Amino acid sequence: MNKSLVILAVMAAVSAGASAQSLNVSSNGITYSYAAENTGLMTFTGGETVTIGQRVYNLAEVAVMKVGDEAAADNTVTIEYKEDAVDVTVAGNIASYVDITLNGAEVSIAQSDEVADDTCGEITYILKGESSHGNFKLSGSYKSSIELHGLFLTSTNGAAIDIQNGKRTALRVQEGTVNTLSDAAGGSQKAALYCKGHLEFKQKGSLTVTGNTGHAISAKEYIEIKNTTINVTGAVKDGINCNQYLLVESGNINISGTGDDAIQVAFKDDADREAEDTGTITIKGGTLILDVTAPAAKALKADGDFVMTKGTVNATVSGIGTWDSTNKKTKAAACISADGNLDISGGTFNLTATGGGGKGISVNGNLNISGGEFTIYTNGGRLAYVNGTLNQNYTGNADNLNSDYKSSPKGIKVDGDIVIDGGEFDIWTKGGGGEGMESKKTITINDGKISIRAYEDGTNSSSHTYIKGGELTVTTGTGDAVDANGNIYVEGGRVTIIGAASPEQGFDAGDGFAIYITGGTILAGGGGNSAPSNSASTQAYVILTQTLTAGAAVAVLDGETELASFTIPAAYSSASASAPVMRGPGGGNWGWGGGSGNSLLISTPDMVNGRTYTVKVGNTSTTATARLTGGSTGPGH
Amino acid sequence: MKKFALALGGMLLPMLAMAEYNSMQFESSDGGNHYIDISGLEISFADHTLTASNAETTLTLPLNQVVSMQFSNSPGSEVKIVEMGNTDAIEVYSASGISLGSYKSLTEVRNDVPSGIFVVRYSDGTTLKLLKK
Repeated sequence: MNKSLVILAVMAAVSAGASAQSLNVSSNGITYSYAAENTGLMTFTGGETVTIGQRVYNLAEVAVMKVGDEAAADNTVTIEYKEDAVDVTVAGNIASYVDITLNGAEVSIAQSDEVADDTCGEITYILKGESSHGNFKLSGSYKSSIELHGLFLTSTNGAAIDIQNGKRTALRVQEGTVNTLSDAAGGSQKAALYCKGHLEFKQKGSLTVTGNTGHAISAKEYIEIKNTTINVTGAVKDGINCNQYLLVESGNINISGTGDDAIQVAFKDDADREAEDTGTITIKGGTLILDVTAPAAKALKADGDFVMTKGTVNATVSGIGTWDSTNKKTKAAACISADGNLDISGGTFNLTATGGGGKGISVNGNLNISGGEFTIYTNGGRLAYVNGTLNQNYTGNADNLNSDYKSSPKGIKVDGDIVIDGGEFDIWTKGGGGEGMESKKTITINDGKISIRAYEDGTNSSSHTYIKGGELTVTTGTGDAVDANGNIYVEGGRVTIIGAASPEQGFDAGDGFAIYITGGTILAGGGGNSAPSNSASTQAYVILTQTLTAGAAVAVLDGETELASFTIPAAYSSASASAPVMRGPGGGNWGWGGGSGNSLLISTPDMVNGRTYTVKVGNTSTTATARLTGGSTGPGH
Repeated sequence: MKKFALALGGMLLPMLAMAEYNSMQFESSDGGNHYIDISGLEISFADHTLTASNAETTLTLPLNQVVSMQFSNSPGSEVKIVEMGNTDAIEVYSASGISLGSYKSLTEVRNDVPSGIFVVRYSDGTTLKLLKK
């Protein structure tokens, strides 16, 4: 080793090993810790005060000054709760920028408005220790950070942590630490953990919060969560409530015991709101486990859009439906509810709704899903307000009820358009009136693998339904497999759908509308099927009457060549199948009911108009001639 | 060589910035300066009196006569930058003040002493605290 390197090594050791001398000033129960080299000339005035840096200390309030070996890190305020009291240490460089008031274990800090980038910069407040009647309140006008280093704080006077600072607060939950917050019951605070500005959760520690007056966690502006584990064990209102938006990048969020929604995001509904004030929930990762029991409550409620690209949502809502006497409409629970649009490109969803009218996904705008795995289950009945009585499982005829007076359980319910570009769906709506997927406008399936088992309709669109690709499998108990009030266009994909007995159908186009088959590999069974009615439908099909059984293999053969094969879904119940009814142009019944078995429509891209094919169901073979329009294969024709 | 000089400067500057003090200096209104060792130093204010005490000494001053205080090194103990290639004879002491002998260079010191903290004293009175890991 040459001489230069040796000297460098020694110097480096000297530098690294140098200790920081400090001057610690104890005043009014607070320790102000200065690095010795930063104290400079400390001047006394009139035997009454001493000025250190920019802070003036009244000597009558100074208990002692001690020289130590270690100064507090710059820009930090450390608060250690010790049940009835606290130890507070303020870094000397910010001593003049914080005004601290102590009342037992209640700590209130007013951060000076002079805190800024060009003065001392951001201040970090480090909280740790335990108190069963302590809290922390912070005001200010410049961003700040709060670090939790193992904090167990129960407030008997307001919020546990109350951040009255309208700027960004970074809440760093230190990795490896467990932290618990609980607020006072019956107070006026909005939440156990409240932030007047925007709140950013960071780091991999664990934070458990209970809201005994309002929400557990609330921010007046947005909330972002990265890496942190957040547990809400109970709240009078929401588990997490914020405005502007919620962004979950990663971490774990577990919420249960709420009196309202698990997570709700709102926005300011006026013209001058900021661009980021969208009411959007965005999930880019992490795992959310949400268990909601409150009536008509939601697991995830966005007043704006819901966007998800990655992560897991396991949500159960078991609240019953309610009657809103003010707005005169029924309200039902939902796992995911968006007043705006929903856009999902990835993630895993396990959604269960068990109350009357409960829904897996409910969207007021449009829905677009291009990826993700969805398991959606509802078993609540139809919610209906009839003659002044709210029914959780109304079994009477609801057709004539005003739509505000009823709410059927649905796997996916959308007021706008539904577009499925990908993803895997397993939807089961078990309870009375349950529909798999409903749009008040159009349904377009471009890709994806969709399996629906519905009490009533499998899919239901108020306008047209387009099937352009992917794989759609539907069985129903008492409804149509694919029901559209407009046309049904099948242009591609693989479709295996079985509707219920007559008058329910496999394909059911709207009155005055028709089905157009221009592609796809199709098996459609049910009490009837809408049949193509004009030359715009270009792919031939066969249609016949056939009894089906769950699990049966169905094949269509051109001589010895198999054009396509299907398996009747295991969920299919033959008890639902009886008289098939073919619906012709205009949607009117073709009037061939009275026979037994299903209407069975099969179409493949290779079928040729006028050619005869063999349809094999189990061991039974039947021949049928392909056609482009109409259908006359059933009895009565 | 230029890089080496820059690196050395980078290490020395923060070292100087964190130079350790050995005393607290009080200036009184009569112009006098009073020093007290800062090891274990506590300063309190009561009965119009400043009391500064460590394990060995207690200094009391009337508060109305205290003008200022500051960390300092008592006269004759300033630290200065060590020149490269310094070949002056240097004395090395343990942290407890026991002389470990004379050396011609820091290299010699590093090669000879065990791990620990040492004080190096140059012939002109300059001192340097060393840590060998």
